[in-house]
Formats: sequence, structure tokens, C-alpha cells
Amino acid sequence: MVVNGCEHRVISSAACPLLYVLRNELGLSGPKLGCGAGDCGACAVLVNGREVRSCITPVGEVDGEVTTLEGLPQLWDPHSEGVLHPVQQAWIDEQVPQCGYCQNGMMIAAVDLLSRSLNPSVPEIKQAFSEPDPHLCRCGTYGAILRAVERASAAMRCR
Amino acid sequence: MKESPLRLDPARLASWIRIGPDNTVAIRTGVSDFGQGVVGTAFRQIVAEELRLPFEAITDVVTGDTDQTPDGGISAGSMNRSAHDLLLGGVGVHPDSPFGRGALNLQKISAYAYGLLMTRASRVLGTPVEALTAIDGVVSDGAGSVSYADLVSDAPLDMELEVTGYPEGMGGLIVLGTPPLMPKSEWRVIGASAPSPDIRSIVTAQIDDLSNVRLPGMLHARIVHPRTLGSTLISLGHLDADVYPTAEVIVRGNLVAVLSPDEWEAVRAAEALDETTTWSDWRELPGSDRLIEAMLETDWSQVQPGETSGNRLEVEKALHAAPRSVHAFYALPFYKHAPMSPDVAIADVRGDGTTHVWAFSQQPRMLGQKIATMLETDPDNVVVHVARGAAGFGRTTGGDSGADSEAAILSKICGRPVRVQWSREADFAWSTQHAPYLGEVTAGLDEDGRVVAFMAEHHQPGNSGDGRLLGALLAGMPTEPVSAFYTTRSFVEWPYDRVEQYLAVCRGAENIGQMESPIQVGLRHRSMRSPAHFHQNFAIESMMNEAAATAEVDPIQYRLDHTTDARLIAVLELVKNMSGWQSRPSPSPTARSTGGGVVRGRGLGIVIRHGGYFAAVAEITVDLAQATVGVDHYWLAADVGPIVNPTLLRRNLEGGTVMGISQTLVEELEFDTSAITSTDFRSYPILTMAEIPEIEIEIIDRRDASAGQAAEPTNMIPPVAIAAAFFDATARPIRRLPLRPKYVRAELNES
Repeated sequence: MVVNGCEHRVISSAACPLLYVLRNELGLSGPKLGCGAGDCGACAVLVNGREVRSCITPVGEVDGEVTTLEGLPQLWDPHSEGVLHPVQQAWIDEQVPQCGYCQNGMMIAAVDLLSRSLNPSVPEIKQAFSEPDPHLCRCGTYGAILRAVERASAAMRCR
Repeated sequence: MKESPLRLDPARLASWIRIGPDNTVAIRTGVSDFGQGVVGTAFRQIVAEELRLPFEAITDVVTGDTDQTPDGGISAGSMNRSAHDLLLGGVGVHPDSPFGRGALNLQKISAYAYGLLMTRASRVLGTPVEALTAIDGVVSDGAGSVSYADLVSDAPLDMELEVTGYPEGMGGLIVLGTPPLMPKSEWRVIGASAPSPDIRSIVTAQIDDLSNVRLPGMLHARIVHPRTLGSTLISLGHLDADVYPTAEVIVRGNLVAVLSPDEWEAVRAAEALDETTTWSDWRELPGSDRLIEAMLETDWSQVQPGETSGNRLEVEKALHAAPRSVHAFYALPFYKHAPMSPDVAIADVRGDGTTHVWAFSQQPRMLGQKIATMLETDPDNVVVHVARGAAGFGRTTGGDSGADSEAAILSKICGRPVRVQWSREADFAWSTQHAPYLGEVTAGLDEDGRVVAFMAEHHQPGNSGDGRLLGALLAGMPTEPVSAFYTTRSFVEWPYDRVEQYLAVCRGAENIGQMESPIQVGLRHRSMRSPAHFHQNFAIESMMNEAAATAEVDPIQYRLDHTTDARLIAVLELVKNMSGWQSRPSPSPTARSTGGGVVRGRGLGIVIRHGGYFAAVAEITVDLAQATVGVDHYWLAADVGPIVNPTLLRRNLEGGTVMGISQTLVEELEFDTSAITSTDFRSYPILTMAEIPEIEIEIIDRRDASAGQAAEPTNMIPPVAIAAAFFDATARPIRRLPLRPKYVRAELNES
């Protein structure tokens, strides 16, 4: 399995959810356990650039390259060391997270959205984070997320 | 204070602060940060200000851990003066500081440290202190200079302190004395939006949080909880060793767990064991469908009021004499804290007699004390390490959350470190919740429609002194008894001083189902954001809106007519301007509840909490055919005294607003007669991004005022403002939340 650009040999059984493999076998801490049912989005990762809920995805069914929060800088610019993905930078500039537990999934969803629609409208952003499977935040950072997506969009359009 | 190798001496300055060789500063505080930025950012700003250092110089903040920090009490209200007065009886306040509790401690510590640095600099430079200036960690007399680092290179800063307080209680410790402070007029770091250092680490997956704690030899545990909130174990199920070769089952009383070094095997084995394990039946809950009836049927007159403010005889006489009165019942459901992480904790009961627990606790010392009681050891042998986790909004008030005590029991039995991770289903079913509410409110009006007497009777079946450890209850181990506290206190600071006759009576009762449950569990109450105050404010301010409508007076004007409180008046005037408020009484001239289509309305809500003043306006749309309510626009005016960090303050005010809208529109815990049936985010929904309104916030900065409660209270306003807007739109008062379609439809159809 290729995760964040590196090939990994996975020992876990094929039925084991990708989330447990990423956290326990590969030592990645970006994706979080939120609901174990795909309802909240805290565990989201990208598979071939599309958002996937890793808590309900058996590792044996992963068909493609996995990118986690840790891999976003490299996804944006494979050659530049120490530069964050514009989505991460926008999250810092807007001071989005409060407790931060859900923000992994929020940033993954933002990267997915902006790869499909580089200049999304406010209703498009709201929809992307709410339907069909919402990304939930208990601290109420939705407004800051919305502003950060707009900021990231502007930065990415400049490249 | 007893000497212990696992405790710092809080009476030494060196236990609180250290200046490093590169002019950086490390601070220690028993208060933890739950995402509000209080410790990670605001405390840093306060320390930097007193030491005349830039914000970035405060590089290290050690928080929470009971062996690494002085006792900080509960991590709630850690900056404001009212919480200080409430929890510490006002001891140790500083006349020149607006702050209280944890923030005040570090402000004083920094001021003492600054004094020591200047004395040393005076000696080195041979210049009196008065002729010295300190800028960015360098002290100068105009001719020569010396850095803080040089001043501490031979001997770290230290001095004896006078410290008092309530060790292991809610208040924590307070440093006494009144060292000279940086004048508020010269603040440069306080009042600016320093970026939170925690945010970068979250965004880059570098944060060392609770979900990442792993110990050598650690086992993953999943708990097979009883079938209902009152079930006991009848027979343990079977686990096939060929299928689950590494899984081990531990049973103690009604605590059943499966442990494995492989987390996924623990998950699967627990599911398998659960299927074949049998529990006794139990059906003693009223069911959420009958909750309001059950509360109405309770004979509250038999319950001793916890707190009564006002003179009952005088108020009843005034109500009786009033030519008109408005009377109503208000009801709110059980709410779940619903943190984004299901509960998780790690415990390591070691051979040397010490116990270490990793938890995201708001009150780690109290957790340590309770774990010690349960394990029958000395509290000094228990260390609680606070690791950052998903915000629980009060769920760990009292210390514990559930998984922590279970982990400690299992680790003691198996002799290895144990990580207990709850599933989301277990989290909804076995965590605490905030008690429901039934309020009966009467306002007596004179001929002009002004309130002359006001009586509120608050009823909440939930014992927030319920700090019993879940693990101990299940395993039949020692834990403390319950006591009544929050749900029997009057939290509303009555702002209408032009009304002389005001009475609030507060009655709490046992947790629903607890006395009937063979395992003494039932629906355990625990404080949640603005505990009990949320409910009391909903009833009282909704009644003020109803009284204004009865008097046919604009609701903002009606409040202005009843108060002389200048700070309340200021936020009312501000929100009026922000929202383009048109003065008129509710309901709207176009209000209707039949005929389909949509109707719109606007409503006002206010709250005052611990020196924080808030007023908000909500504009909503009611779809009469679908019986749905949407919030379109929301304006909030706030005054929390001096602003420490404008950006983070705004975030907190906005986040509280979103939680409050969520509680108003969708949140309600459902349960049948046996167990909680809201077991996921579909059956206990919280607000999604699609449902948030446009939110506009303006904040009044008052450096002359004490610091008020800022991060917590704004969830209290949407219930009042949205319910008022519903009445404005439909001419139907709505007195129960949430505004789910089934309740809205019932209200619209009622003739």
C-alpha cells in the first residue's frame, strides 16, 4: 500500500479498517477515530485524491494511493521542504481549530473540494462539508472553516 | 502541604516559572487548555506582558499534569474574577488586575519574577531599580545592560510564596500578595491577536494528544457494557481462542472487558463476546417520550429547594396584586456533551505502587483522588497526566469521564498499561449527560404592562455532584457518594433591577433511574457548557419576551425599561444597531401559523454570566408545510471586560453560538425505559455547516472592568432568541426545545 508517497507492507488482516492500520501500524496520527461509522469525518484520508472515511474502509479494499494530513505538503509540492499545503496554511492564518479533533477531516475535505472546484461558492462549500456525509465539529468552527477554504482557494488560484 | 516526590511545592516560585539560557520562559499551570486558547495563548500573553517580553519568548507551557504543575483546580472560568470569587471566596484578588484564578496566578508569578530580575540587574549594573528599563529580556540603565538569561545563569529565579486555596477542589490554589503589575494602559501583548502555537501543531499533525499516547507493553481494551443502565451480569459469553488468539477477558463484577495487544482484535473479540453475554432485564426509566410528563408528575413541593433568592411571601403578594400576569412552563431535554472523540484513557498501575493515568480531564487532581479512593491507595501515589483531546464542554467536571476508571481497574488486574477506547455507541450510552429541565415562570404586570413581580421555579432531575467513577460502580469498588450542587443553584444574575420583586427557587433531584438501578447508574448528570444557567436563562428570558408581547412593547425597549445596568444597556443598544432592528412588538404583523409557505421572524436574547454581558438577535425562517426552522442571520454584541486576544475571543463567541443553535434546533437525547437509544450522530444529530447562519459579532473592550466569562456563555442566547423569533413569525409561543419538526408541527397545529 502506498501512503504519503511511500510503499508500506501491511500486516493487518484485510478486514481491518484503514484507520487502525494508519494509526497503529504506520504510526500516523492525523486521522482520528470519531464515530467508527462514517458519520462524522474525523478519520478522513484521501485515496487517489478523493476523500474516504478510513474508519469504515477495510484496508484490503483500498484501491489507490493514500494521502493523510501528514502527506498534504508533499501532495501540494513534492520538492519543497517545509512548505505547508495552502489549505493547512489557511487553517493557521484563519486560526480555525479550537480543540482540533475534527480538523484532520475538515482539511482533507477542503483539499478534495478544491481539487474538484478551485473557486467554490459559499453554498458549494457548505454542501461539501454537510452532504451526504457531514463533517461534524462540536466546537462550532464551521464559520472559520468556510473562511479558510475561501482563503486557500485564493492562494491556490495564484499558482 | 505534605512532601511528596510526585508533587511540586507550590510555595516556591521555581515551581511556576523558569527563564532559560536563551531568554525564553517556561511556565507551569494546573489549568489545561480545551481549545479555547486560554492557557496556550492568553496565559502566555499575560506572562509576556508582565516580563516585558514578546509573546514568542514564552516557549514552554506545562499544563495539567499533577506531578508537574501546581494545583489549578477546575479548568473552567480560569481567567474571570467572578469565578474566582465563587470558587475561592475572593481570596488573593489583586486590586490592579482584572483577572482571577489561573490567569491571576501567572500574572502575579510573572510580576514577582520581574521584581527579582530587576533587583538582580540593579546589583549587577550598580543602578537603582527605578532607573532601569527592561525591553525584550534585556535590562538597561542607559550605559550598560544585562540579559535575563545572564541574571539567572548562576541561580534560577526562586522565592518563597504565600499560597492558599482548596487543594484538589474546584478552586485550586491561589498565590497571595500584590506585586506591582504592568499598568493596563501600557499593555501591548494583551489585547493583540497573538496566534495560538497549538493551532500550528494541530494543523500539521504534530500535536502530542491523548489519542497518540502509547506505552510499552500496553494492551488495547474494549468494554462490554451492561445491556441497560440497570442490568447486572447473568452469564459471560464465549470467546473462541482459535479466532481471537491474543484476546484476554477480564471480569470484575459487572465490568467486562476484552484486552489484546492488537486493537482490531480487541474490537472484534468484544463484539463476539457481547453477542453471547447475557444481562438482567431492567425497565425503570420514563422514556424520553414521557420525560416532560414525568417531570410534571413529580411532586416538586416535596423536594427541598437548594437555593432560593428573593422573598417568597413578598413576591407572591405582588403577583397576586398585579392586574395582569403571564404564566408558562418551559421544558428542555437531556443534552449530550458529544465530544468528537469517544472516551479514551490510558492507565498504568505499576509495581512500585504508583498509578499513572492519561486523560483529558478538566479536574485532574480530583480524578487522581477518586482513582486513589477506588484503588484504596494514597492520592499522592496517583499521577494524572493531562493530554489534549476532543473538547468535552464540562463532561470531565469532577475529574473523570468513564474510560479512565475502567482503565485503572483493568491495569491493576492485568499488571500492564491498558488503553480503554470506547466506541461511539458506548460513548452515547455510558457517558454522562446534562439534566433536563422543567421551569414554571410567572410575571405579574401593572396597568402599563411593566413587570412588577417575577417568579421562576426551576426543576432539574440531575445531580451534578455525581462524581462517582463509572468503573467503580460497574466493578463494585469504592467511590464517593453523590451530592447536589449545580442543578440546585440559581445562576441567573437578575438584570432587571427596576423590578423589585424577583424570586427564583431551584430544585434538583436524583439522577433519573439512579435509585432504581441495581448498579446505581441511571441517567447520570454532569455539567455542560453554561450548566443549569442555560436552562434557567431560557425560561426567564423567554418569559421576558412573552411579557413584552403581552404588554405590546418592543422586546429591546422592554428590557431597557426594566434595567439601569449600563453594560447591559450598551450591548442591547449595540445589537440593535448591528441588526438594523425595527422597533415594534412581537408577533410580526405578517405572522401566521397556517396556510403553508414560509414565514419569517426575528427575536432577541440576552445573558449575563460572571461579568460577561451578551445580547443577540436571530432572524429565522419557518417552513409551515415542513414544520422546519432555519436560522438565517445572527448578530451578537458582547462585553467581557478587557479583551486579551480578539481573534480567539471571537472564535469562542462564534463557537458557543453554533453550539447554542445546535441545542435549540436539533439536539435531544432519546432513551426508552431501559437504555439510551441515541447511539450515534444520526440519532443524536449536532448542527452541520449547512445549517449555520451568517453570524456577525461585535465586542466592546473595557480595560477598566474585571475579566468576565467569555468562552463559555454564548450558547445560552440562541434558545431565547430563536424561540422569540418563532413567536414573531408564527404568533405561537414555543416553550420546549429542540425545534424538531415533530414538536414544531404539534405547536403549529395546536388550536
